[in-house]
Amino acid sequence: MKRLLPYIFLLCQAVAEEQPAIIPEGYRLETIPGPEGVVFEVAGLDVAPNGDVFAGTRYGEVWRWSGGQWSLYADGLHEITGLDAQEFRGAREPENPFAPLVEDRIYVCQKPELTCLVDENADGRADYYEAVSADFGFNGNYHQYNYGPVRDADGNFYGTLNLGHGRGDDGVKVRGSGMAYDDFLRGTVYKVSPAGDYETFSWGLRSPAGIGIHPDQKSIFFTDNQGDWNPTSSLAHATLGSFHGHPASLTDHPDFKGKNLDEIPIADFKTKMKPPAVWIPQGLVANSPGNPVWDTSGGKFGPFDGQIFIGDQTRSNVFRAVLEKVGGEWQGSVIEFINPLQSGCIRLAFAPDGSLYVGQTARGWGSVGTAKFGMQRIVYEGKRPLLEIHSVALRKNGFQVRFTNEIDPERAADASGYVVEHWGYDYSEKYGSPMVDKTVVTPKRVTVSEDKRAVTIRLSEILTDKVYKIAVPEMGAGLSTRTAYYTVNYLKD
Amino acid sequence: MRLTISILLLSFLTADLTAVAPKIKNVRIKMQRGLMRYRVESFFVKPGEKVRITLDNNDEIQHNLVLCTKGADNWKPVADAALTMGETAFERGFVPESSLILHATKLVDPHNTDEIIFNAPMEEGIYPYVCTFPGHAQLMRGQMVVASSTPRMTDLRYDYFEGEWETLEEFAKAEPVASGKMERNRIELEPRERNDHFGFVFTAQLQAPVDGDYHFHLASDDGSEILVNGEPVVTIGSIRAGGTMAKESIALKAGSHELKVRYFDKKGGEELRVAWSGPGFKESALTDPRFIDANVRLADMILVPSGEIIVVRCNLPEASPRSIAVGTPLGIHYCFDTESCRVLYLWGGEFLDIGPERGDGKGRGGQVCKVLGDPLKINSGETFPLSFADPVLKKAKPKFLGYRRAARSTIFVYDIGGVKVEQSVTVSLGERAALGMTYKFDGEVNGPVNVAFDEEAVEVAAISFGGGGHGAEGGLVWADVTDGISLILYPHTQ
Repeated sequence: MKRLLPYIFLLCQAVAEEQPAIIPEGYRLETIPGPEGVVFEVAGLDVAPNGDVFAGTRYGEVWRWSGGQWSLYADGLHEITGLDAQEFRGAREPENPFAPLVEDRIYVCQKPELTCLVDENADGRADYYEAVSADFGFNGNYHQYNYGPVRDADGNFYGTLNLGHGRGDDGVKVRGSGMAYDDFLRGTVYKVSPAGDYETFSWGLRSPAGIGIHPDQKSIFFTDNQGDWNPTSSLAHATLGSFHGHPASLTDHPDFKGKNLDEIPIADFKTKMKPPAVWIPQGLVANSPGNPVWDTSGGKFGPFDGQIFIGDQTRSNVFRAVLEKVGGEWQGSVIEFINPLQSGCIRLAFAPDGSLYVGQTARGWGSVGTAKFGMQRIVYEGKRPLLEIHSVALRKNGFQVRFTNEIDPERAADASGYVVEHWGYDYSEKYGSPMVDKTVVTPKRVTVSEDKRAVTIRLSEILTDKVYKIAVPEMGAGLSTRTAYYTVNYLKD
Repeated sequence: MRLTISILLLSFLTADLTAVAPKIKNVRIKMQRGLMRYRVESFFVKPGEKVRITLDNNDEIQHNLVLCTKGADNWKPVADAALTMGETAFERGFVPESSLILHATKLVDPHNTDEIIFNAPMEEGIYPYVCTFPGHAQLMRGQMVVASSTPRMTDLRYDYFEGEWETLEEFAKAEPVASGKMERNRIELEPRERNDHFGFVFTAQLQAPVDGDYHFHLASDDGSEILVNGEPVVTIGSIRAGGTMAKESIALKAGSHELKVRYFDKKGGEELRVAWSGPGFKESALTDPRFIDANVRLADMILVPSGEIIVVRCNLPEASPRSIAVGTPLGIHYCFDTESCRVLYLWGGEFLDIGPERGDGKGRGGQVCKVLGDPLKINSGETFPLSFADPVLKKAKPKFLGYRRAARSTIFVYDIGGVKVEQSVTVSLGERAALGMTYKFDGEVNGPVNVAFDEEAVEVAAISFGGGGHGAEGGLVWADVTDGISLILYPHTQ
């Protein structure tokens, strides 16, 4: 059968799917069958303003999911690992048949290039494959992924460039670390203006498999995967010129050009490093996180409005990141959300209706989810109020944990029901770090807020450069998860 | 006579050698780092064979390996017992007192190893192993299978049918038009006389080494079915296009079992993939082994144009990794390198194997694609093939801007010193195979234009131009133009 023909499927919601072990009440996971016979390893995903879902695959195709039907938009691309569909208008069916047809544009990051796929004749298939930028090094090493793009309010594109996998003597491996700087500008965040001008925005990345932009349309965040110089995976806020820890990319940095990076003390790199907004503990929350997306649905996706959602390839879960500004910088916690899904969750995208699409692939690094690839969708039905941890906020002498609903004040006030533990991570060229100086802390006191929706856990001291595990007691009406992991970089004044 | 003697001698020699060599089966088990799994999750040993298991902990946390007595589920009580060992658990390496344990390594620190050496039990069957460190057992385990035979397929035969099928049931009334033995011990849709409206029934014997659960994997375009000892195990009843492999399990006793695979193709693509797995062995292909443990089809990785031009961005041999392979239904294909903005080489035959780069559906990929044919280089020179008389343009480097896909041609767009060049490439088959190229210039060209090709590879001819004189000699085309130039390349047949 001809694989390029669109395949028609009905999205069958009537059949109740088996639900994951961890899923908050009111949420439902649906599986969307991919186009049949297609290697559907979704590593680029976005939902256009009209609700059409665009999936870019590692095989190199872009598929459009519209009205319960798949159609091929573009093919023959070189491992797509990011996609932006915000300029897509669906010019194929103009409301006014006499209006001139408008070109449709989908942006993808493929390994060699940031590319715009233009449907010039409005037949639903891209005709012109425009090179937006290829001003970074690419020598074919399998690990040189190009993730993105996301766009800011001015239309600039941002992407992240993976380091190469250090095979043999290839490239610069600072202190013999695993990943290598094996072509120019690898391990950075880049910015490309609408006119195509390329600039390096941030340095010190390793395997930054997901980039996202804050709803303010200017703050850039990315995730990085655990490994050398990355003690555990992280979500970081990139600012112009920021350095995020992996020294290999400094080979190109104007302050380091020509220097032997092996001779620079590790402490110097650490001083220069902008700490991530949140460490994502390996094995507990995520091992290989993808792109962060913000819930801006205004409640259509439930009570976590404004929070960040991230998927993970290895653990095949979706978790939340809840950030606040402390000392002028973003920091906060990560909390399990849904676990596990059918395959490795590398891409998330919110649809205008408030549902969350999940693009999946398990290839290359393995995943707990047994499917090799696919697409699922998380829907909030919210028929009954649910009780979950909403957020964790740092206080001067403790943490405030807010819930989505009222809690049992007696149970909540019993300090003995809480487990608080903290640890640090070693920053080095070694692959990952164990939890260092793991310490259990006994809360001094727990108080319940007047609205019965929050508790304040008082501690005798709070240390910086630590991850705090905060586990709350059972609150009666079944929390799907009781643990949050808060990264303290800065203290509250 | 002399031959017999040498054979006899040889057999004495080999017998001697095997007697001298210390026979030990080495099994080195590393971790799938960060995934809480052993890399080796099953292996075979012979009854009584001497075995060395080396636990090579390349992970960042501690692990052990506890080998249990015969019984696929015996790991579970052992792992549970390790959870209740109390304060001495670490001292004892999380190895509990249990009659279900045969051998155990110590608790191995990250980047350390430990080994156990033992004689395999004489009794054939499944001996599970597990990491008993708390929380690991759920994923971190495997099976040592003691068996005197290994899984294999023998006596593979086929019946070939022709006819119009919609369902598998219609095999019942069909008569084979040919039958025979499959020479390669592999299920293939050969020998066949046509590409549509045909079917096969394959029969073979499967040797199951031990009692246990065996899994059968099947994907096809169109319908197919696996039967074991006459019982349907996996069925794909409908007209369909390949896709995900279906998997079903069946309990089999050690010994020989009859395998039957039925397949039919109505129209369009044809593909059949069959595999099995079981105690001691992972998915093992009974069809082409390259495409068995992945949800990909041969057609996804071996690209052969039919009807449409295929344009694929990929890493090609002897080109930059930022290249484009263009395959045409006429059987002539070429490589355009976007870094040097030129057609580097042509080839004929099948088009491209992108499996090495796209990971064949299983690996990380990222290797150079395979060109299926012999490349004929047409632009191997240092200088850019297109050159202008204008001194500024002469020095300018090309910058790739994109490509346009059309029904009969592919148009590459690049910039040279402010001049936008659109280079259209068309393959045609007349009396001679030819590559037509048209360069259109958007910008001030200021004077004559030259286009150079490797003279030994192609003969060139200018066919049209916009004003002024033109000509072709050897590998060079020149024209005194401002808007563009068209030319034809005739590859020299070797």
